[in-house]
This record gives sequence, structure tokens and C-alpha cells, in this order.
Amino acid sequence: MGHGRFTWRVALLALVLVVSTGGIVGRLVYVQILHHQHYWLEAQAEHLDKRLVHSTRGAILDRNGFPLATSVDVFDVYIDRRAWRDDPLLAREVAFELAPLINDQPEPLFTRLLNESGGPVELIASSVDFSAGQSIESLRLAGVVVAGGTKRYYPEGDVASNLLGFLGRDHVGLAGVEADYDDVLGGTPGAIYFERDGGGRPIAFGRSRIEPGRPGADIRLTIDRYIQRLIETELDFQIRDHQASGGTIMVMDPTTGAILAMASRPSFRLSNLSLDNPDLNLYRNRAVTDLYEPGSVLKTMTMATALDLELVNPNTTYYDSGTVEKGGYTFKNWDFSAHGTQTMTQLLQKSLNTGAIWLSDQIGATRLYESIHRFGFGESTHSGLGGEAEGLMRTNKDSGWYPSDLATNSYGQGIAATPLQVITAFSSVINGGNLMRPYIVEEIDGPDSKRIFEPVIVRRAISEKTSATMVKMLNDVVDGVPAHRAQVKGYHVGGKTGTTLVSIPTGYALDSTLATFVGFAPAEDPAFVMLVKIDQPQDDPLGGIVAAPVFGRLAPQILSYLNVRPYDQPLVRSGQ
Amino acid sequence: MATLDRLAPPASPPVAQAWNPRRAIVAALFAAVTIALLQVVQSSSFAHTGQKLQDIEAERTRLSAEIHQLEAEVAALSSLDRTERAARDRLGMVPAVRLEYVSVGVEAPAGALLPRPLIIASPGAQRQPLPWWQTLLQSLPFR
Repeated sequence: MGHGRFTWRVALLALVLVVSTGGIVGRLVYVQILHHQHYWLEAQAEHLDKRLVHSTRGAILDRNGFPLATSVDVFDVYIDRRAWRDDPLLAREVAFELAPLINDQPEPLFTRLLNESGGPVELIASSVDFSAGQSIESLRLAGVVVAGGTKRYYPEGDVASNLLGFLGRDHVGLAGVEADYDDVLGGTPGAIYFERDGGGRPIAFGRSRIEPGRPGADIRLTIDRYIQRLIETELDFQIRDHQASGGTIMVMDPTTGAILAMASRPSFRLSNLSLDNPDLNLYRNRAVTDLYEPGSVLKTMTMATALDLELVNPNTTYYDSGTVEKGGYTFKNWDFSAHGTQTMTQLLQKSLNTGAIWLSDQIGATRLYESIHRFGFGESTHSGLGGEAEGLMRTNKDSGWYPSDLATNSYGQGIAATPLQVITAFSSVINGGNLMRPYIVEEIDGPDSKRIFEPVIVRRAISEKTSATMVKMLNDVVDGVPAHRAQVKGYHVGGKTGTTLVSIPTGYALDSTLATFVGFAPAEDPAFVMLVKIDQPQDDPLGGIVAAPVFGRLAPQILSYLNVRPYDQPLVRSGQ
Repeated sequence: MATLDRLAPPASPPVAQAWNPRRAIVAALFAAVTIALLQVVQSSSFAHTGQKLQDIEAERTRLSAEIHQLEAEVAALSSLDRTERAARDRLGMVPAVRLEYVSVGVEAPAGALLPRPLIIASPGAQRQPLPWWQTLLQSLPFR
């Protein structure tokens, strides 16, 4: 029959139908089965939204638990001028209600509310107290929106600004401990997931889920706020008094390597911090980022090396003619003097360059540089502080090294180190010979874990016997010299001065010095080591005149604070 | 007179109540109203609980902010600057010129002399007792 014929037209139609149905089925398989997860997520994203909730930032505490930086809740107040664009009376009403809550005057605020130059939406007051912010929120003023946030608060004012650092507007640490430990302090933000309508607004009674954030951990530093404040006050005074360009004072527990206080100038003030026009030079912690030549303080390490190798003892003598020829150069003492026969103790007391060069000859270049490396020069201390410099040192194995370099290196020139490296090396000389890893964080106390940092011995720098001998010799350097300015009544102290010319790209600035002193007390059982560095003092260039008295003034206060009893103090027993 | 001898018709069995459309409609309406009311009650209860939850969350935020504020106040009150000002101006104290060390027959306090305001909870702070039903639940052998 003609109707039942399977013509080519029918076949074509059937083929089109089969192909198109197959295409649709294939596409369905692709979408629904093969890429199910992808499209499911896309569909979810269409009607689900997420809002981040910042977690509370952890506090930074001193070693006794007193907060140096903590966070308080505040509000930012925004205005939306569209609410009163056609109704100035409403704006006046808002201004009069809002003004007392944001510490403003109603009339000027009213003018601001009507001033369209800031755009329709503008931040009108930031970091408003939490209670005031809540009052504003409860008033439900037209065109006024409040947004919650936090503000960093520094109970001790500007103390330890360089060390603590600061936060940016997005509450991320930008400098100091705030930046170095940002991940620990900042915690993890939480999130609220909710169903939204076509306009992106949350649907009332829609599905919602809260993913709580983790608050940041508190960090307890090794810093003692009392000692920190003490050294900062003294440093500011000394810089003014000597019209110096800057300076550094650090205090360390030599036994553990814990940094008890650390201050450097120039610096910034946390109370007067401007993120709009930052002077980046003020923000770095110069005690760990800036290099300087340690000068005669390094004679301590040269002497310790010679003693450790048993090449000399405190009474060994050498002849000081006032000059030494080395590699075609003539080296003199700092005061151009000549003292004749001198013991090793006298060498340190008078800080004789010729003596240090004589010692370097006895030790030899390879052994001296190896020893200086053992004291931690030329490598990072790994203190955990950001921007730490490694220092510069050229040894006899490096190209460009000359025998005259050994002479200058022996008394601390031609070597660059950070104040932190110098005080760490000096600590190892007097603590029994162990190079300790300096540390600033004692404890990280998180919401569900606690980490306590223990002292770490990096390596042995010298023997215990050598260390004991050095303590005695360094005590003689201070207490054995009449009217030494680092002396402290009632305590045996030790230390070494240093004066170096300021290095500039073309050599040294002959009219500008760095006056330093590194000392410890009490000599019997050192409770602390202190480094004092005054940069470019204008009245006197010498470490013994400028820096040593700073130690002399600070040490008794610190010793008293640390409950270290003077050796000559008669005890008054109760009931006697 | 013819007597009709007919059997009395048997007593008809009690007729089941006839299907009454009115009653059915009433019942349906009653069911519909009940379901609607239940929906309203549930919805209202849901809204009430949501409101209560929001209030509690707001209260928690406020208390948390208050804690931070109080901690900051404690820190400000114990700051060295304030302590020094109070000692100098209010109590008329001056820095010691000479220190006297007195040995007493009492052991020195261990650790920090002052409390760590932020990280050590007050030893007097007691935990809230658990409600009776929680205690009961905890005493069950299976949980």
C-alpha cells in the first residue's frame, strides 16, 4: 500500500528525530551526570550568599601578661544622603540626634549631611565607641548605617612601637610582631551562608548556616614592659642630650636568649600613626634590620678565641709600640697612644687595636674567622623577627680578601652585624660559652592550643672555662678602671666599649661615630646583658663617654626591678 | 371482617446514618482550618524563635564587646604611665634614692607578682552547675 511505504522522506525525518533526541539525551547526561557537581554548585551559588565575619584579633602581652596591644569593638558610621535628598528637615533631625553620639556639633554635621561632594554614601565617623554605636543602631535613623569592627588599643601608649608594629585598614599586620605573627594573631574569619533573593538580600526564614571563625591567639612576648619603658625613656633622653641621630638599646637574658627589652630610634608613635603618608624609614626595627660595625666590642670575641685556643691567658703580655704594619698599611691605637708591655686584661681595658692585631696573628685567619662564625656573625639569628639582616663578613676564603682585613676585623672594623647579633654573641661570651637563639615570643595561647617556646642552644662558641675567664676580664675592664662610667655601686659589672666611624659608600665619615657599650651585671651570675648604641653623638664621639653612662644609669634600676641584691648590702633580718 | 393475616413487617435494622455531604464539608473545612492554623502557629513559633535567637546573638555580641572593653580598661588602669602618675601626683611618692633590702622569713611569691589580666581566669570563678536533665543524661550508660 502506498501509505505504508517507507520513503526516504520518512527515513530522513526519523533520522533527524533520532539525532536531535540523542543530542538532547547526551546533553542531559553531560549536565546531570557527568558535570552534576559543577552545575549543582553553580545553582547553589545563584541563590546562596556568604558574608565573612572577622574574628577577634589576639592580644600581644608582655612577659608578665600585661597587654601591650589588644582589640576593642567599635563601629563605623556611614550616611546615605539619598534618604533626605528631598527632605532637608529630615537631615536636620538626623544631624541633631547623631551629633552627640559621634562627638560632633549638630550644625556643622547638618551642613556635612547636605554636602553632596562626598557622593551619596560616605563614612561620617570611624571607630565610634561600641556603646555609642549601639545607641545609633537602636535609633534607626533614616540614612544612617553602622558597621561593626575592631580597633587596636595600646594600653602602654607608644612603648615598643617598633617592635609591636601596626595594622593596616584591613586589619592585617603591616609591621613588627603584628606582621610577623599575623596568621597567629588574626585567627580565621567565620562566615554566614544564607539564601538570597533576586536583589541579593537575605530571604527571611530562608536557609542559613553559620560557620564560626576561630579567634586569634594571644602572644606573650619575652619583653618586660617595665624594662622596655625604662630603656625607651633613657634612649630618648640620651638622643636629645647628645643631639644624636638615633640609637638602640637592648636588654637580653644571657642564659636563655630571651629579649627583655628592645628599642631603636628614630621610630614612629603608635598614638600618632598615619597610614596616609607613611615614612617607611621609621617603621623598621633597626635593632634587627640595620647593620653596623661593632668596633672594639668585637675585641671581646677575638680575646675569647685566643683564650679558648689556649694561646694566651689574662696575664700574657705583648709589646704595644703604638703602631702595627700589616699588608702595607699602618694601624694605630684609637687614641694614637703607645703603652709598652701590656697584659691581655690591660689590652681590653685600654681597648688597644695593636693588641687585637697581635692576637689575630697568634690565632691565624682561618681559626679566627671560624670562631667569629661560631659567635653567630654572618648568619641570621632566627629570632623570628621580620626583616632580620644576616650581616656582612669577608673571610680569607673569599675573593677580595687582604691580610690587612684580618687586622681590621680583629678589632671590629670591616665586619657588619646587627645589634641583635652583637648582643647574642656577647651573651655567649659570659653565659658559659653557649650561643643562644634570641627569642621574643614566649608563648602563643590559642583558643584550643598553647605553644611555649623554650630557650635553644645554637652551638657552643667557647668553653665554659674560657667564658668564666672572660667574665673576670670584662669585670676588670669596668670595675678595674677608676671612674669607669659603667660602674654600678653595689654590683660587680662587666662590659666593653666600642667606637666606630660611620661607614658611607665611599669609606668612612671621619666626623661621625657610633658610640657603643655592651655590659652585664652582676658579674657573679649575670641577670642581663645590655647593648647601648648612640648614633652620631654631636658632643663626644666615644662609647666610653656617651654609651657607658647609659648602662651605668639603667643597670641599677633593672637590677633592683629583677630583685638582684647588691653584693655589699648588709641584710636586715626581720625582728632584729 | 376479613382479617388480614399478614406478617408484620420485620423490624428494619437500624439504618446506618446516611452520608451527609454537609457533615463532610464541615469536617473538611475543620481539617483545613486546623492545618492552616497549625501552619500559622508553626510559622509564628519559628519567627519567634528566630527573633529570640537574633536577640541572644546580639546580647552575646554586646557582652563580648563589653568584655573587650573591660579588659582594655583594666589594662589602661594598670598601665605604667597611670601607675607612675598616681604614685607621684596622688600619693606624693618619689623615686627611691637608696634601696634597703630586708630579709623576712617568708618565701617569696612564685612567678609574676601581678595577675595576668587577659589569660588567667580568676581562681574564684566557678563553673555553672549542669541542669538536672543533663546530669541525668550523663549518668546513662549509653550516650
